[in-house]
Amino acid sequence: MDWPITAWRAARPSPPDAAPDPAVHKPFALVERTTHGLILHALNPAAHALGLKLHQSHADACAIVPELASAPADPVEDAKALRRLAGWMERYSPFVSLDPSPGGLEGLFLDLTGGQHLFGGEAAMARAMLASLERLDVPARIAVADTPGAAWALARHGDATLTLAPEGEAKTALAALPVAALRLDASAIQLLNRFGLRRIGALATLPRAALARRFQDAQALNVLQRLDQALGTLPEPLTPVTAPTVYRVQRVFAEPMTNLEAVAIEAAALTERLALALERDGVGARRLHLTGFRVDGRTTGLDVRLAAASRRAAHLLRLFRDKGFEHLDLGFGIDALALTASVTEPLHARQTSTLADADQANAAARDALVDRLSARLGDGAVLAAHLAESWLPETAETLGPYASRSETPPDPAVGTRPILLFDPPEPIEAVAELPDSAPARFTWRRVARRVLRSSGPERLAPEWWKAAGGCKPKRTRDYYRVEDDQGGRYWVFREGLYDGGDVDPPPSWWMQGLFA
Amino acid sequence: MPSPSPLPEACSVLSRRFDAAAFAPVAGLEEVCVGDAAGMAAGLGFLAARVRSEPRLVAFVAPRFWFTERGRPYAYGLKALGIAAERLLVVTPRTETEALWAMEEVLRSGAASLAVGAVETASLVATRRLDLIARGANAAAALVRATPQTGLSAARRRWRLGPAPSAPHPFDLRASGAPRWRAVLERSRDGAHGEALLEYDDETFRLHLVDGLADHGLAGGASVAA
Repeated sequence: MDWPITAWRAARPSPPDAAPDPAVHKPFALVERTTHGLILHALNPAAHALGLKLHQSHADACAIVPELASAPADPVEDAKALRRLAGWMERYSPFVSLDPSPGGLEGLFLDLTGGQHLFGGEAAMARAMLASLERLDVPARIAVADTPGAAWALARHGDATLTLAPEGEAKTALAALPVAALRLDASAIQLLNRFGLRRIGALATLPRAALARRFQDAQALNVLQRLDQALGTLPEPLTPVTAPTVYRVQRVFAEPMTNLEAVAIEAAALTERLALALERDGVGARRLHLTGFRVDGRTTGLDVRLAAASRRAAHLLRLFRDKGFEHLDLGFGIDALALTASVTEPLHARQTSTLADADQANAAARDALVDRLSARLGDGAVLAAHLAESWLPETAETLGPYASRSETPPDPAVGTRPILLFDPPEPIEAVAELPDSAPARFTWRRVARRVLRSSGPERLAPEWWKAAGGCKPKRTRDYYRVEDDQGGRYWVFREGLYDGGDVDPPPSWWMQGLFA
Repeated sequence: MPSPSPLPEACSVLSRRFDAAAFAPVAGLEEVCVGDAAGMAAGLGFLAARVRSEPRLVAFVAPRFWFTERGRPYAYGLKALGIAAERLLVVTPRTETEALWAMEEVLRSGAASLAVGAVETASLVATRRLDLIARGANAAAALVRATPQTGLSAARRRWRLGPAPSAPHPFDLRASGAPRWRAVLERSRDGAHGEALLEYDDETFRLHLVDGLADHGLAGGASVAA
């Protein structure tokens, strides 16, 4: 139950023949360094039994119990380990949250509403949870109740390791518990004890105004709020670790699965069920996650994105296959498999367009093709032309991801453009007869070429409305179409004007593209 | 694909050993060997010009470093060939195996009418698969390379393409006119082979065979509609 100690033990695999684990039998503590020196951060049951208390100074504890063993505490790693466990506990419920109260970073809240029948009832579910946690060597106490407050109280201060409060009976279940079970701070508990109110049952029967008057301001509200939350009259919202999705299908296996082919077959069945759920609501999925819950308390998953919403089961399964099931790290086997669609879009909106049937089929085939290529090669490998409002050739059209291209591109009137573009342009050495004319000879990639025919110039000024970035100021370009004696047709430009005052550095020549 | 008209009998002494049907795009695999960068532009132009009239995608499969060496496809340049910018799809795999897989996927989906791949080494099995898939999808597949193919290949036609001095411009003596390419058909399934000079007219989007006359006029009646 002391999570830091459990996490510490889990992080250290013990060799088979070593001395018995110090954390189990002998008194053991995790110490934390603070401004007041070393204090005890966590204790194991043996240390508790010997009378040590949390946040006691380490020196005092060693004086009381000389054989106390200790190790440095690592709260950051403990929190991370708890999050991992929370992710694994999602196999029981999609709504798992960490305990937000201070000093309570050792607990998890699971919202079991609606899912009990999958596991055979609340009692069977709680017993299965306890058994699986025990298999992971995590000592746990579980309480199932109507409200998070009541469950917290019963888990920490109840009698048994597994408590099930019957529905609607929160008041009677909590009556015998001490007041500290209400998540109040130490001064409030002290005050209540001084009044002789040691049990929650006594507290609940008092008139509320009288109770509030005994405390000061915020503390009064806090006491009443916690009481109401435990009894269910005030709601207590929890934030889950991962946002729950509406479309989620999962399957629990009798035995852990270690075979990737079997995982593929089960994933196929899950996509069929998910497709049915999506079709029922008229939506298509844009993003899917396949999560496998391993037996050692971790999760492994695959993530797939789609360019256009789809709910065809065959297509979704094909995307997972192209991504590769071998990217799943099964460890010692997985107990359960879950498929969620985290981003969905109404599907009918795409189908009511004015395209003809053949075009529609073509568009669907194109989107499916892009999905398959992106799943195997990565998102940045499938590119389309993005047209922009700019007259510099390398910015007027760029190659960007296919999914984010705009449907109606701008259509500026441009002159003849080459079929292949060099971005960035390559420098060439050129000699022109007159300052304003096309080059007569140029050398590109160390091959000297002689120009037979040329046309131009096409003058493109720098875009003055864009902020000048970088150290080099942009200069006017004069583009020429030149053809050499072999027939190669090039698009070269001179950057800078000879009579425009561009002296330092002098105008230079560059190769921008090749014509067909 | 429309069937072009044969050469008139009077020009038979000047006609090549194969007629214009050899240039028409056919569903299947073709291999194009280009020399340098300018030849690559000519090759792309030749391949793309022939599939202009179909509304499907034109896909280009090449690794990323290929673009810095040879230049990247430019949509405004394809507009001159009559292909809209939204028809261009560029796929950048990391290895040649992935490139061949991507070409197969593109062809199999039926969403593309032309798939051009910059793959240097393709085995006989890989080319045979590409040919079959292209035939099944009624699309043209082409592998462009810089060095001639030495091994066996299942391509229907094997071209060597390069630029040629362009036609004279009708209004400007110094400018270059319609682009011309020298196409050598090295090997073909139906036995045709030979060399020809092609000219592309971007107003009518037609490929013409150029005559061997002194002023390089056009051979009457021998043209391929793209």
